[in-house]
Amino acid sequence: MASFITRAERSGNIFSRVTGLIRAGQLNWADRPLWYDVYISSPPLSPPDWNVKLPKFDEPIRPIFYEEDVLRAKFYKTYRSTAGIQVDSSRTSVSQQFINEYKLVKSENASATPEELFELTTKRLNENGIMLK
Amino acid sequence: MNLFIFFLEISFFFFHIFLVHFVLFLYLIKACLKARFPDLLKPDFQMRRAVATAIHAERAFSSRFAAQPQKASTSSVPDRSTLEKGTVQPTVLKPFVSASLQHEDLFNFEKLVHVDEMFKARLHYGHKIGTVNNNMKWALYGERLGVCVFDLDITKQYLVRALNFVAHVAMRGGMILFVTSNRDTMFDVEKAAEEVGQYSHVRKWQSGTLTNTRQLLGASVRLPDAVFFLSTLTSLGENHPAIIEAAKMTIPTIGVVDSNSDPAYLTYLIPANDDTPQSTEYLLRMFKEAIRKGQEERKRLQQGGGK
Repeated sequence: MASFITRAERSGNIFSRVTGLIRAGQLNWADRPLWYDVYISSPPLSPPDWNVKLPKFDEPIRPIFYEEDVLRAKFYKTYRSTAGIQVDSSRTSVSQQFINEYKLVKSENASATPEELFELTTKRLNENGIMLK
Repeated sequence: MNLFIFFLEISFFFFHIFLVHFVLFLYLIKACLKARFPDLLKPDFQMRRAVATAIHAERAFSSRFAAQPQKASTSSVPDRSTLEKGTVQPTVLKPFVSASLQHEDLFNFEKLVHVDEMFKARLHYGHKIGTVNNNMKWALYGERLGVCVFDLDITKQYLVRALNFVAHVAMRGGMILFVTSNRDTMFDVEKAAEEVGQYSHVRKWQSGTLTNTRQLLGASVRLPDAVFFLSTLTSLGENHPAIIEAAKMTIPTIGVVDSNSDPAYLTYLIPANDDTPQSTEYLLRMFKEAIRKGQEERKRLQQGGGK
């Protein structure tokens, strides 16, 4: 009978405990729980054991950085931000415009130093009507 | 004044004597009745016990609802060695389950779940890296300026698996319990469960609600066939007590696990943000859809089989 199931939850995951009952003849195959068949056809992707060490256990987490992070940091250090940035909106922020322009400028003057490129980009934006303070 | 107090005391005295006599009289009546009609004072005790054992027989797994619709298509009973292999590798037992379970993705959840929708619902945000659980690092894409970010490709894979499980359980007439202890989302969870005709528990968890039903509720009750945790932590950052109770009673659990949650004892994991209202709303919408699909399929099968 199904009530013979052990409640020692650390002795095994739910599937192995129920299968153990069926193997031992305590539970008929026809009386298996409702979820049992579904579990067989799509078992969990990671083992549902209480003491399992899942991948990347004790490993450091990879930091996410982008190439333009340095440039954006320099931009905000030099020019104060004029307004909040709406993440959902499709409008490009001033710092993003600066980064896009910087990439263009860099492709045009390959030999310039980063400081010179920064100056050039500021000048270019000022010409286009974007005043940076 | 003295006279008044004297009368008061006298009246109290007589009142007490009257009370004692009255109680004794009641006991006398009870004893007389018991002598004459021994069955009268314990009404249908035998019957109640019979009902309780009858319910108990089908309680633990609600097996009455289990395999009956599929019995015709179930080929046979697996033998000992197959079961032995199946204990480790459950898919070995796949030939013994019904035809509807031979599909990889019967309800087409692969099409329903989109990564960009999950991104807009802010499912990818985790907690600060200082709070990360060692067993949740597998689901992370990385860490951006001190905040964990989930890999939504992994999340999608796990979410589809969990939705598939829930839909198939609903298709077999299963009972699904929605659980959370997050106060921001408790009403949403209650509403979502009610909308699909399922059950929810979002208040304080009394220990033994699953393991000790007879003591708490005074009767044997049918336990849920799956428990869905929208957040696995309590407000104190401890694991929800229902996780262990469900594991004890061999009830499969589906848990939305954030970067600071502990995935132990949970059966199906969904690595995602469980704090933001947008994210919980998205997850509840998906699960409602999955349960509805399962229920519709059940209705379709029952109507088809009834002819």
